Amino acid sequence: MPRLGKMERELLKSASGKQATVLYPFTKDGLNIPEGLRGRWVYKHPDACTGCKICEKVCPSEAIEMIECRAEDVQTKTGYRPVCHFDRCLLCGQCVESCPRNVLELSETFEMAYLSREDMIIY
Amino acid sequence: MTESDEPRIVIPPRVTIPIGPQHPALKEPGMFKLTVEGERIIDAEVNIGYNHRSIEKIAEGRTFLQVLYLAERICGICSATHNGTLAQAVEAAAEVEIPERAKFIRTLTWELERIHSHILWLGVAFHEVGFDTAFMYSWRDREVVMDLLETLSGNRVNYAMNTIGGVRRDVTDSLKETLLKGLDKLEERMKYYRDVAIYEKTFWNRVDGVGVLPNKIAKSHGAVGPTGRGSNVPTDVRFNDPTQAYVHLRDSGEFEMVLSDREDVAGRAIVRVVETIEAVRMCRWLLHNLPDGPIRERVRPRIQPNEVLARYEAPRGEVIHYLVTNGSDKPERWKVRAPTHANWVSMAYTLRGGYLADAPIILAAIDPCFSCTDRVVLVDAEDETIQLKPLDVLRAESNKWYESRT
Ligand code: SF4
Ligand code: SF4
Repeated sequence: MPRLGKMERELLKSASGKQATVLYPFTKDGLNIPEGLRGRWVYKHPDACTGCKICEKVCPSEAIEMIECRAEDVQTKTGYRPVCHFDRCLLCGQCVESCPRNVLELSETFEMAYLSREDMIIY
Repeated sequence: MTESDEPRIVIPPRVTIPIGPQHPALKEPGMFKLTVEGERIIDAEVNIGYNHRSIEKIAEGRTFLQVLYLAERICGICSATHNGTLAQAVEAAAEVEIPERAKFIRTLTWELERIHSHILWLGVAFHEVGFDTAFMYSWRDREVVMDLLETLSGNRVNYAMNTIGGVRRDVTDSLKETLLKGLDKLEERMKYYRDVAIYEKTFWNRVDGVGVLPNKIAKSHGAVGPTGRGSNVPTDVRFNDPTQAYVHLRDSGEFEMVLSDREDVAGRAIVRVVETIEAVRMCRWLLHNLPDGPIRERVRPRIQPNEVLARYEAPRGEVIHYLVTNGSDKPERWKVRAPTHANWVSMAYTLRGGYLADAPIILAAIDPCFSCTDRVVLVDAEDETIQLKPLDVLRAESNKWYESRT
């Protein structure tokens, strides 16, 4: 009888074990999304924002643009608020870290495919 | 350009095969011109410099903080390497000392990255020699360390853990437990893959005595990282010139540089698998000895005029960041020498005299992230007909060639 290779036992074990991959997008079970994932950018606490533009300045990829507050927005002190051009965002989290008022957040939403650039401007 | 269904056989065939240079998906596209006589490679020429991304010039217009995220994108596999080494360079230029805890966490990220990079390499090596079962299994288990890195940093690939003056995320007690558990699993699996690599003939017979790089040549051609260590050249910045927490790791006396005197692809493979187990042990040591304290130091954005050189042992070898500052918040000049660049040189030598069928594994052995979308052009020297071959076709043919020999 030929000698068994180093992997035979492992092969048998895996054949009867459960599948290693996840059937995403049909199920999200087993994706193990960790706490603190750097996902979709959100303007979380508009009330606290002063419109200081620090987030715009630190962003490495010029993803943040300061626009004049629209009628439906919370009016900031300087009259400007950030919007994120998410197609340029690197998800580095520097804006979140540098904001003096803890306004911004990278949420745990990881599904970030969009059909047009317009959809990627996050207000 | 013609492509025929029937492979043409020219006798005696002296054929020049250019491999590359276009690999849009790769960080370092290179071109290898192999001249073959029959199945033997008699000459190899390496050309690089095809994909200039101008990262160093872009950096000159950004602040140090912004360049960190740019540096991270030099390479997807070594993202913590470039990010951390640049942070180290800027800190040296600013002449600040970062807190001990930050040093430990930075080193921990680096070592976790080494584990994932080496398992990735091992999987690619298995794949190159046609041992896809082991490739799938090792990559399945690589997910363990990818998950650990994701939990630690918030991203699977671009960790962005370092900032100027320390690190951005702390290791909490519960995270420490998760990491330790994951490391135990990794150690067990890596010991198994070490045995697979050494005792499983499917792999071993394809790497044993292949791609020989003698110690003398490795030294004179400046081979770095596992390529050099596989030829018994004691080059490892972690031990020769340690920074960050590597000083403590070295002083603890529990860790040693992994060397092999085999000088072939097998030697490089052994160095990598044993080093992965060492890296797991290092991570555990770092977690057990993690000092308390702050994780970052405030550094003013403007850095005084200075000129520094930062080194670190990346998974592929020594990486060098040279930085000149001029008193502003932007670098005056920043130069990066990645390890693969140093290893191209000895590559031509290793290819010479080998079989064409061994070219994929020899190329992969320096771990250039080379194997995903590469294409090969076969040029017939007699009538200059060209056959375009994707690397996977070449790989399949290589494996068939070996089968037919036995
Ligand atoms: S989000 Fe923060 S950094 Fe940006 S403008 Fe508002 S307060 Fe300033
Ligand atoms: S996460 Fe980074 S890239 Fe994205 S908007 Fe914030 S600073 Fe800019």
